[in-house]
Amino acid sequence: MSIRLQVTRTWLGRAVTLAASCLAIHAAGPGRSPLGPVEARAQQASVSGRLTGIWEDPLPERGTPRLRHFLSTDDGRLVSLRVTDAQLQFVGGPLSGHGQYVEVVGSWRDRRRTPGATAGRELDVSSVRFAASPAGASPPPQGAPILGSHPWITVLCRFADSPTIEPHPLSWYEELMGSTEPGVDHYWRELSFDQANVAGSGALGWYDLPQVRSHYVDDEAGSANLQLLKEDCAAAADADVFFPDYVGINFQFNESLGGFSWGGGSSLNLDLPDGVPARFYRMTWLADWADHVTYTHEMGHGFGLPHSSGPYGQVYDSNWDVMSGSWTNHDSFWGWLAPHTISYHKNMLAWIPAGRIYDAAEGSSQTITLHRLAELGSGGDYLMARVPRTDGTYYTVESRHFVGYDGNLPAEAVIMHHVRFDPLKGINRAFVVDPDDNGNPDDDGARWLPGETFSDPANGITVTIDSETADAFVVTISVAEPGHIVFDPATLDFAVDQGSDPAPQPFAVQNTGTGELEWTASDDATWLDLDASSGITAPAGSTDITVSVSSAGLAPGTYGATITVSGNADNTPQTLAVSLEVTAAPVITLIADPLDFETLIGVDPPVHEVVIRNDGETELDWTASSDAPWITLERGAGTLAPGASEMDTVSISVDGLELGDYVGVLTFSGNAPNSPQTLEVTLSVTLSPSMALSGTLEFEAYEGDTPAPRDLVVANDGDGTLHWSASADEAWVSLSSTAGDLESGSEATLAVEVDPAGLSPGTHTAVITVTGNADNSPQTADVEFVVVARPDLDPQNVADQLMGVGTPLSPTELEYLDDVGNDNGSFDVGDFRAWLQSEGLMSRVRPVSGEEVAP
Amino acid sequence: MRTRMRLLSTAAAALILGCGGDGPTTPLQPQPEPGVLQVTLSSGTAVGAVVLSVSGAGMTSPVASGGAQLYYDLSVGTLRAVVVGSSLSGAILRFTVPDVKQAATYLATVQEAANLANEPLAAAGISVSVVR
Repeated sequence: MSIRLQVTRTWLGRAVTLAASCLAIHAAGPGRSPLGPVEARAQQASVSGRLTGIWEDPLPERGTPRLRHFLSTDDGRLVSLRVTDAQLQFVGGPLSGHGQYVEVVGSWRDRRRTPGATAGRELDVSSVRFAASPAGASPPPQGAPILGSHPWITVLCRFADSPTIEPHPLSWYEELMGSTEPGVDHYWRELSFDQANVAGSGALGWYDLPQVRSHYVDDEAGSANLQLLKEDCAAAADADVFFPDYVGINFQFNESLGGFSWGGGSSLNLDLPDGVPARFYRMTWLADWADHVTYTHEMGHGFGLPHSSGPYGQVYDSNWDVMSGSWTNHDSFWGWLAPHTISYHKNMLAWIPAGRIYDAAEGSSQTITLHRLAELGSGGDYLMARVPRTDGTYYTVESRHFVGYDGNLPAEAVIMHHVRFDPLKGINRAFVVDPDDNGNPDDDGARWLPGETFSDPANGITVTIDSETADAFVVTISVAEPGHIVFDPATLDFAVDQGSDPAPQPFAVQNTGTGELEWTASDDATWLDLDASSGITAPAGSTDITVSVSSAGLAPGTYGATITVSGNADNTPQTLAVSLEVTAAPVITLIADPLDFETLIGVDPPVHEVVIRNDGETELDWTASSDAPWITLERGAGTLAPGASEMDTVSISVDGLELGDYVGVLTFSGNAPNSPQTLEVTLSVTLSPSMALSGTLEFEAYEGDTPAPRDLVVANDGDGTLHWSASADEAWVSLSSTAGDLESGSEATLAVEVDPAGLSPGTHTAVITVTGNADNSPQTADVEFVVVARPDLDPQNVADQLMGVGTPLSPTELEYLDDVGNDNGSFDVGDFRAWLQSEGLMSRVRPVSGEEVAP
Repeated sequence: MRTRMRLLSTAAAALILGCGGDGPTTPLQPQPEPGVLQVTLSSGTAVGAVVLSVSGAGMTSPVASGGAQLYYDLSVGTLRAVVVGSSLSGAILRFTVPDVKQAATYLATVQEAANLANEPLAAAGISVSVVR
């Protein structure tokens, strides 16, 4: 039981670590508005300070992680900003703008009840601009290479209502901050190839906070006042710490912080001479469950690293990176141990020497050795490859092996990431390339091994894994020369009268680039069709795409569409505008069943009806004519308002027609662009068939038994061809065929079957009706099905019959037994055995009669 | 039951005579040995059911062997039986008699039979006998 409890706690800690591994900053506590309590809500304010990015990782039920923006003011406060990516472009963008000294103008709004909130109010920003930093302001700690020593101090604080609770003793945190594996100094040294460290870091505590936990944390809202937590915890330790000795501060608390941990940066004005602006520190707020991976992940954010992830909209699903999941290596003392970060992140922090990065050029094919990313290695092999796509984004390629903190990766393999802009976070992020699209970026689909090739034809990229050594993979990276898409003509214009279609028009996809262009084409209109959706065009070559337009159903007016051609071009995608002008006009629409007539010689067939409708926008005058004298239209002409319709009658006269087949055409003409419209009329003049049925359709079977089928013969004993169809009026009757044609003198045999399911003992009747073009149609055949009840027999009585004793069975019972059995006309022991089998009595002992004598 | 009493009286009289004095001696008669006899069946064709009769004295408590089903009648002193099984061969029926040493006096006869497809079989092709 104790082990089980320990596992459960570990899992919980992991889940919370996942959900809350980022940093947030508090703007002002209650009554501590940066503008003072007397300032009204929504009042315009101007605040200056350093722009700071905070990664917020909520529990799953509290939304998705996001990057929040704050302002660290000179007096040590954090101001939460409600700001758009577009506004941040004025100061360098959502990520690169961090650390810049800016002036923000906006109005205050209350967000205290927002889950994950780190401050009671935020500034709804209307403008952001660069501002001059005051003299003495500390340099920006984010967005810069991380090289050399970066000491952190970890301050342990206990809430006033839990002064005896300590998740770990001070020694645990001292060791965690140390240089002995897996201490974070050792960790960051290994990740940075010994170019960065946190030497000089330490831990102090436990200190007692002046307030109870509920003063800082709102569990119901899932929020914590980071400003108060920071101020009170720092003040508690201030007598023992000279904070300017450190670049980072971990505030470690002894209980939950409402389901979150935060990390990033914030200002602190302790231990500074008067008049010196508050100093900016890398900073984390850590809940009681924080372990090795929590510390390294949050400190990674403090160093300016974003998340990486799989391509599935998750954040913590990749175990290849401490800045994503990282739950493959558990230690009973340290909790979850972090792996390395990915090459994209290492390069962000300037840890990969420039000569160890391979940048694939367009039109190149190069075989390179990628050394495992967890160590620099003694040779000059590459540690990272970047492969450009035609859309301006790129792939990273890296080797991962079991070594150092990568000792428990999901596998040893080449791993690729697609670095692209993440609109949800407003920054560039790295996404694991995982073509199997199965939701798991750790499994085989994301691991590239010798013999495998990643192929991205749309961007002309292949990455082939050639071989593996003990500490590297050899890969061949090929990038095709890009094409360049040019359209000729640059636009397409169609004009047409309503109801008719214009002639198709081609346009050329020309490739003026240096590489072969592999393109795809699509459009966004239902009335537009392309005769090709993909193709390959050689350099200096051209490929025609023919565009067809169908204006059916389109009202008069002007329509626009866009054709998009994408491919491995340096200007992909390109769009071509298509316009369609539909002019009002009448439109003839004919609605009729097939005008196929069949009749006996000398007999006029029934009339058919035709509906003429005007689907156009102006009045339609129409006339109809026939090219055959045996076809007559009752009206033959008319006038229809837009949207109106009328009916005409087509009649056939066979007077004077011989036996045979005839074809005629009805032509409807008028002032419509789609005039004329035609209808074909067919006529078959035949002799008179006669129908005859024969067969005895009497069935008899015991209840539940299916009797053998019986035949029903349909014969044509007249002239001409008989078109017949047959049906039964009871569902328990089925026919092997229900329709057909019979020439004169021929016949068809239908197998008639009856289904005993659901029929009770007794006589059941049905009627089969056969209809057709015969002069004696319809004809019927009666079906009779006698369902015989099964006798209720006792096995001993039946056996007595065989032994010649007891009361003889009735003839009906004996006949039944013979029917069930071998059906040889008399009852015998074979019938008895068969009956026992049919009744399911062979497998169990039945009571017996006769003399019973004790042994 | 009457038959058994008569046999016991005869045996007692013989014992008395055997232990007599000067008269002529008479050898002791063998004692009856109650027990079980069985009917065995053999055939060149698999047999699924058989109707048979067994004649002889004092038959009681017939039971089928080998999981077969038995229906029988003993009302007229002859054992008439119907034995049905998956495949009848060897000992198919057992019954109790007063003296198994008289096995040779019991005669079994096949009336009719059927194969495993429940078709009739000629009785002449099936051999049955009564053995200890």
